[in-house]
Parts: sequence; structure tokens; C-alpha cells
Amino acid sequence: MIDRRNLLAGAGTIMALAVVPLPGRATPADAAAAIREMFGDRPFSDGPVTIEAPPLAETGNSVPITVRVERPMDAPDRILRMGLFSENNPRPHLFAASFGPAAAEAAIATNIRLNGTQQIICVAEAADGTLIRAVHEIRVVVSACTTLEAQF
Amino acid sequence: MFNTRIRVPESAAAGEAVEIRAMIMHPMDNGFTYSTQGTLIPVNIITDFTCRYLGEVVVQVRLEPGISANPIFTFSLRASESGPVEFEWIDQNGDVTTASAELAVT
Repeated sequence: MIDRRNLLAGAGTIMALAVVPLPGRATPADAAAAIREMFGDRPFSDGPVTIEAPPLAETGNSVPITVRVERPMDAPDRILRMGLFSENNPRPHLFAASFGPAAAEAAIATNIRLNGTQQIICVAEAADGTLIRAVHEIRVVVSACTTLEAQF
Repeated sequence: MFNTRIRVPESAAAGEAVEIRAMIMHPMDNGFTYSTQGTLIPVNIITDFTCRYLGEVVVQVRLEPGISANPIFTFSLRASESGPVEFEWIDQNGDVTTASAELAVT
């Protein structure tokens, strides 16, 4: 006998099967591995690196983010390169930037995609080999990866 | 190849930090989204961006699928003498898009 409850349960099962599998997500361990791969297994020291981003993003498709190191570019420990990493995206890498002698400061702003609420890690490498790090948590309401899959 | 929009001030004082903006119109398909027909859209991204001033690198960025569509970068360079500010984007197929502007230093 088909009653309303069984019908709804059956429909739910069919819909669950029809959902496209989610892309794999990176974990904090994957992000740490990506940082080790790019910068080597070195300790972090304190430094003036900041991540400016909204604490809450309504959509993960485009989150404005500014990464800045408050350190003069003619100092012996000037910043040569930096990497931005995600703990929850399918790929932990977001971007890697290197700064040349013509740069006025080690700062760059762009828009990134985020797959849900997570921590963003910025690691910057100075010319003397030291690494500095900043962590910023962003709450994301709608993920960049799942919006389209939920529609189709 | 792709449309670009760059913003470089026309003039600057020597030693001044000048804010530069560079954007390229590109979908940056990340390989995780589906078309309206339900087929997976393959990865199609810009992989490298370089800005040079007087032939010297200002900033060089390695892009990943985690960068939003129409990637824009805002950064600053130290003005020293009049000369070109050149931008170069390379996509995953190796196609190069360039743009440039003149910066007059007084």
C-alpha cells in the first residue's frame, strides 16, 4: 500500500541518489602538507603579516581578500614570496605571489573562492629565510563549489 | 586574447607608492561545476600573472582554481622614473595576454 509517508521517503531516497557527488575537500592536514611542499619543513616566527577579509561572506564565489606584510621592501628581511592556503577547498592552494624589487610593499589584494566556513592561512617567506604566518577565519553562507551542483 | 582592464595613474612623484589594478575577463572554470546540460565543465584557468615596471618584476602570481572569475589584483609599486608598466597573463594552454601603460614620474 502506498501512503503519503512511504511515497515521501521513496522520493527522498531517489533525490539523494541523484545528487552529484561532492568534490573532495582538503583538510587542515592537506593545507599543512601544501605549506610544507612550498616552503619546506621550517618553524614559523612572529611577524607583521595580516589578512584583511570580511568575517562573513554571503557567497563563497568571490570573497575580497588583502594580504599584507608591514615591513619595508628595502630591509634585509624583506618579503620575497607568500602563499595563501585554504583548509576546506577541494585544492588547498589559493595563490602564490612573489614580489620583485619594484614593489612598494609586500601586499596584494584579490578575490578568492571558498568552499564553506574555514580558516585561511597566509605564509610569507622573508629574504633571510624566516617564515611568518597569519590565520583568518571566514564564515561562508553559500559555498562556491556546491551552488551549481544543487541546481542541476 | 582576453579583454583586460588596468589602472595605472598617469603621473606620480619619484619615490611614491603607486596603486596598480589589473583585471582580466576570464571565467576561471575550476573543474567542479556543471553546465546546464549536466556535463562537467573542464578546468580552464589563467595560471600566471606578471607585472613589470621598467623591465623589473613588481609582482608575479601563480593562480589556482581557487581564484574567482575575472581575476583582479591590486598591489603597489615604487615609482622611480618614467617608463612602461607591463602586464602579462598566461593561461593553461600557454596563450599570452598582455597590456601596458605609461607611468610619468615627475
